[in-house]
Amino acid sequence: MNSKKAIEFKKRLMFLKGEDLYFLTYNILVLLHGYSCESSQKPFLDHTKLAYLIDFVADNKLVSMLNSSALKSPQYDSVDKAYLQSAYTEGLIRRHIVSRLFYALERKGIVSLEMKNDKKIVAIWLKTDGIPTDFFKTELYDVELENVSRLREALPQLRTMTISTMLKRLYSDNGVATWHE
Amino acid sequence: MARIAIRKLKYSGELFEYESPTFDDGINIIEGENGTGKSTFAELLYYCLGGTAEMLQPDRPHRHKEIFSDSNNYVELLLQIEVDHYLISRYLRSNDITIRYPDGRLEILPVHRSRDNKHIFSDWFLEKLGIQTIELNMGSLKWKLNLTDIFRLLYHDQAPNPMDIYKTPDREGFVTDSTVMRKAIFEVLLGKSFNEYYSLLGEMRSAENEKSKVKGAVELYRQMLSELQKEKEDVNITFLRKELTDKNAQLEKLETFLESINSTPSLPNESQTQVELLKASLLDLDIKESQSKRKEADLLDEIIKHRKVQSDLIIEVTQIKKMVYTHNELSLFSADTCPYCLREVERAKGKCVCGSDIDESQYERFFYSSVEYIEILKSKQKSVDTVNMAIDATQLDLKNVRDDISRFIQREQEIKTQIEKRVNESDRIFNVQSTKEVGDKIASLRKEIADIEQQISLESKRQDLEDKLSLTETVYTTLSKKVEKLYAESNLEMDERIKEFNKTYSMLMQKSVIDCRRAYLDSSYMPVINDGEYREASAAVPRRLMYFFTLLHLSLVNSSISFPRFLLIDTPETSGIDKERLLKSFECISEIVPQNKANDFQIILLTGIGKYPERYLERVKQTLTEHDRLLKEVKR
Repeated sequence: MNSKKAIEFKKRLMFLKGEDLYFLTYNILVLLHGYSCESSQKPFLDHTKLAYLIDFVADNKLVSMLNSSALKSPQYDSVDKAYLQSAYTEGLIRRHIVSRLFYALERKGIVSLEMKNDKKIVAIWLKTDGIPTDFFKTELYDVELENVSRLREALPQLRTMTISTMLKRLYSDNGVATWHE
Repeated sequence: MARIAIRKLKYSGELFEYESPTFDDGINIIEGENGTGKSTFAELLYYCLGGTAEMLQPDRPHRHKEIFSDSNNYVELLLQIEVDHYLISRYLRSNDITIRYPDGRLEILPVHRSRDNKHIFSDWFLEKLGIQTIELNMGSLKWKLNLTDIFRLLYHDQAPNPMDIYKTPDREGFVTDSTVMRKAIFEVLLGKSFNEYYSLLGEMRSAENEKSKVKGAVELYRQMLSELQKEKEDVNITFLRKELTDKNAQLEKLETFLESINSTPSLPNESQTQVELLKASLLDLDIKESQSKRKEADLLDEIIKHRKVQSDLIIEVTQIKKMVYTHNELSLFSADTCPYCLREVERAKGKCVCGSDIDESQYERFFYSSVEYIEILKSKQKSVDTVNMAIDATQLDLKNVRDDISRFIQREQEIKTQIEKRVNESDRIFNVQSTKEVGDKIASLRKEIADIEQQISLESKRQDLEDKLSLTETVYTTLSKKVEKLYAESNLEMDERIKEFNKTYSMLMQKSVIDCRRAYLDSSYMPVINDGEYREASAAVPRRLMYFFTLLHLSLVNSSISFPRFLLIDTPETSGIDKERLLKSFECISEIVPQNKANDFQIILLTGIGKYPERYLERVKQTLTEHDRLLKEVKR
């Protein structure tokens, strides 16, 4: 009993929200749902963009930074900038696991993936029949859906824009240095 | 004393001219018939020396026809005073006389005295003669002795009444022909001391005037002072000065004191200490307050951090709830999911996915089950509670700190009010009262000082006036004593002179008038013949002439006499004297001139043709006739 409790405690200690696959999954699904990427006619272009977008879906603070003139105002201080910068590095770190997650989700029949533009990017969309019909009908995702709609207001072309443009719009334009191979 | 002599007389006009021969010392005779110009000569001479001649007066009925028809006309005299020769000239109708000095220098002097002309020709002349300018006072009138006055005993004119002896003054008046005046002329000409006496008398009179003026002023001033200082005691200036010094010292002290109470904090010691104590506690409170504020800031920061943790935790809790939901809905991963490819692994019990033996209860897997998620959720919620508790505790601390702060602020305010009140109160009580007292005292002192200063100035003025009075009194007394002494001396001298005069005059009169036995001067220096019993009119001419001769004689025998040893005698025979008596009178000239003094005098005698002793024939300088009159027409 003691050792079991110790293991549970150990597990609790090892729990890292940002790396949890379910955390990544529901945010991606909510995003695709929010952008209505639910068929091959309207895919989300370049799945690598999603690694960065997860934080914007999960965190209303980041979205509100994008969505207002806050970044241009004097109130946009070094704290905010650092926050944005850490979001960028989170995204950067997350890229590989997010790629693996996509293939796992494709195998489970939750999303569809398709190679586009000479196999350089992957287009992704939700397979609505692979998800329980009332999956998005819960109030649980209201916050995330609200964030997505604010993201759409800030970046209407997000679905189709290249990753370079997106990084520029999300970070470089707001004073955070980026790199992209 | 000084002598004068006429060396030449010249008249020059556009129509007429005249130039006399040169006159020598001793007797010079100009003879001439009546109406040929003898008197014109005398009058021109007299006119040139500032006199007023009858026929040269423009408003007189018998004014000189030729001279008044002439223009640009002037008289010129070559005059010797002692050894110096002066050229004196005066234009007709002019009141200025030009003097040409031996060195060629010119001086123009006015004839008449006026306010603007203090120094006139007469003053110049008398100064040369050594006769001091004498001021005679007659009651309120003042009169300065002039050359023309002296000439009344030098110029033996054609007097209408020779009994008067003195030539009629140019301007007849109460003063000019008074006995006082005549006596003064006589005394000045004869007595050396009298000369001084009269001059001193003048000074004395001035001093007397000055004295009475100052005395009046002092009296007036004293009266005024007693009016002004009715209530004040009469104190002298030394006392006043001392009082002034004392008051000034007092004033200075008070002013310094006033300055000191105005510039230094005027709290009494006790009050000051209390304020200091209050200030110290205020400072203490201030420190405490700022410490508390720092604590407040720290607590606020802590709360913010707690809140951040709290909100993060809450978000995480909701996110975990979503993960649980997703897990339950999609069942994507399980304990048997490969952490690399994320596929399901067929794992034997007691073995890891890699095939190693494990204790199933201790197998740590990469993925969580729903139960495990719930456990995590629970613990997270517990954490939220803990954080909430922490927040509550911190907020309680914050409240306490804030209470402290507001208490401190309130206490500070109280102390400040107390200090202010104390300072104000003591300021008011102390400063207002003492400043007012000191100010009042200073004001009253200033007034007293001003009063004393005024009193001093009044007193010193009075003192000045009194000093001046005593000075003028001294001057007057000294002068009057001198005058008295001089008067006595002069009288003695004059007595001596009168004796000499009487002796000579009596002798001359006896020689020229047969039945004259005795002649002498009365107290007004007028000759009395035979004790006043002799009244023959024909004796009038010698009586006057001998008077003049006696004066000349006295000046020749006594060098201290001012008479300038000069006579101008104009035709004495016109006053009714027969030729024999006239010649006898002229003969007397030789009697009056001592042998060794033949050249020490000058007589210019104007007389009828041949009306002089024969032995003076060679003394005739010019003979005027009907055809050879004095004034000649200018040849063109």
